[in-house]
Amino acid sequence: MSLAMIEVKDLVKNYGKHTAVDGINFRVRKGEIFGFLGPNGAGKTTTLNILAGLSLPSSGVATIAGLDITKHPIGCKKRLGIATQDANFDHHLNIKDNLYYQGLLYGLSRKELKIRVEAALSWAKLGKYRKKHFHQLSGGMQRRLVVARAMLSDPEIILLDEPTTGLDPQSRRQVWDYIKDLKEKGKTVLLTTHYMEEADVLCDRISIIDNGRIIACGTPDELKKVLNNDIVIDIALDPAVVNVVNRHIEKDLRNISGVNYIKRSDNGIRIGVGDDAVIEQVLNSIITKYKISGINIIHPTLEDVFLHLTGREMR
Amino acid sequence: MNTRAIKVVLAIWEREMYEYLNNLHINAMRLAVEPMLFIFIFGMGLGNRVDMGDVSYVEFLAPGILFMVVTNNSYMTTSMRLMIARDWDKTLVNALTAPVKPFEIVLGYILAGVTQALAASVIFILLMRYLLGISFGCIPWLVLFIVAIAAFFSSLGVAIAMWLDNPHHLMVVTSLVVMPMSFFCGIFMPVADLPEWMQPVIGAIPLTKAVEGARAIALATNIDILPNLAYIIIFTIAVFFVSVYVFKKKIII
Ligand SMILES: Nc1ncnc2c1ncn2[C@@H]1O[C@H](COP(=O)(O)OP(=O)(O)OP(=O)(O)O)[C@@H](O)[C@H]1O
Ligand SMILES: [Mg+2]
Repeated sequence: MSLAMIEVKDLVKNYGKHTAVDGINFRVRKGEIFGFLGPNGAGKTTTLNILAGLSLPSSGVATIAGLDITKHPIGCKKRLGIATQDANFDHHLNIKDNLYYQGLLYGLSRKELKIRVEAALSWAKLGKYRKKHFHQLSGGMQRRLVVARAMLSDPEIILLDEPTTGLDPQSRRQVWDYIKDLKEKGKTVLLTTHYMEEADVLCDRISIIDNGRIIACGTPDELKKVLNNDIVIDIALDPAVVNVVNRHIEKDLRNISGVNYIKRSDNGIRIGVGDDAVIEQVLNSIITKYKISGINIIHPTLEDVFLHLTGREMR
Repeated sequence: MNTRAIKVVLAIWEREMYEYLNNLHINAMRLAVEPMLFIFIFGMGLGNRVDMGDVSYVEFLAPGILFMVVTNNSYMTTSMRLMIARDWDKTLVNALTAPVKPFEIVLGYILAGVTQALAASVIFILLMRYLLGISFGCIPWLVLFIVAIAAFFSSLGVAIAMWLDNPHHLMVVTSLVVMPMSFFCGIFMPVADLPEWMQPVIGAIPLTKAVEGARAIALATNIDILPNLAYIIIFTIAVFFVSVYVFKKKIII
């Protein structure tokens, strides 16, 4: 069994009468990217802030590399880098100096620190912007810089709070590459997001959190299995004969195992199957016999999982 | 305190001093012009009509204005900078994600406040000596008072800035609490001239003890200043712990 870098047991956080985090449990293994997926107000930031020592738990236990965060805050923080949801940059300093003064708090020697600042800037491909101020950078550059700052002290664990929120798809993909690179460097990453796609692409394992509770946890594939009908095949048929043909197809497919449901409609037929192998079988039996005007294969997304679990759309 | 803690205090101090030196042109103006304005208007203008007995009004006023300088350069800078770091840049939150204790951050801010107050004092003392020929007596004793009062007002600045959530409220508290201290704590007139019921209250304020001590040093009167210094130090330590407490309460929610 691999070592738990982060372990959270029955963690609760109350703000007055409001319970932001309501007894959650999870463990993040060494070297994995663990995703915290949930809508606004789910309790993601609250949990990260507790892990980073910015907030105190109301009850429950959290450990970083085996150290209790309330008993050994310094030891925990040494192993941790965090990119908070707000950017938190000093308006009076350029980005290089911002990194410098943050690094100084880690007790690094000036020489070592200067090397690390340059390395962090060049990793984020921001070397030539070192004299710029934070607000002069584009959104994508800003997020890269925030991730680079979290890495400055070379921590084992990196917490990223919504690293790509508000970015256009292209910049988002770029930031993803940087996050993947953290994993290649052997870091353990805990990130929060409300993008299903992001969790799907980046994370080894995901916890879906809603109203302060974890409602599902597993690999992206495991979570998708929560849905009974894995893959949907939508077949469009010639409108003139649709009502005859779709009855025939329905009859043909009844004998194929792995087909979970068949639904006729006015412009074709919809088939739900268990896994990819069945798709081929289904298509073969249809294409050879009938004239079809379109095929659409829809794989389930975490969006569907969230909908299935909560009965609500995520946004 | 271990090496890690010392490095954290110095890191905060270095950041604050960098900001201070970066704005030296503004700071220098404030340092040189502000106290001298008081000296010229009150000391030399109005002062000609004031009879202080053995000494001239300017000589009476100088140690008082010195401590007004110390107050302004510790309390104002510390409280403003801390509020900016908490609410505007939000870098305070960042600092706390590093392996630091709140206590060390507070100490860093206070150390920067004390340094700035000392710098301002040096400039004021030099200006007074070389422009007006006024001396302040035994400098080492004076420095002890300056450091103690600067630490007191820096701590107070931390406590008040962390306690209040709104820069506007900070201005109001400053003008209702800190500014009146300048008027009543013996800077412009002897505490003995105040209404009788006010005297014990005003006399208990550390700033009054400092002005009294500094005046005794400057005018070489035979007052034992050690109790004054001890009194200030005890208050400073108390306010320091209050400021750390408020800081923790407000920032780690
Ligand atoms: N300082 C606070 N005081 C009171 N309530 C708070 C505080 N911080 C967060 N909350 C509440 O706790 C709940 C969880 O907030 P949190 O910021 O953890 O959500 P989140 O999952 O990070 O959401 P988002 O995706 O919008 O960032 C919300 O209902 C929020 O209103
Ligand atoms: Mg959040």
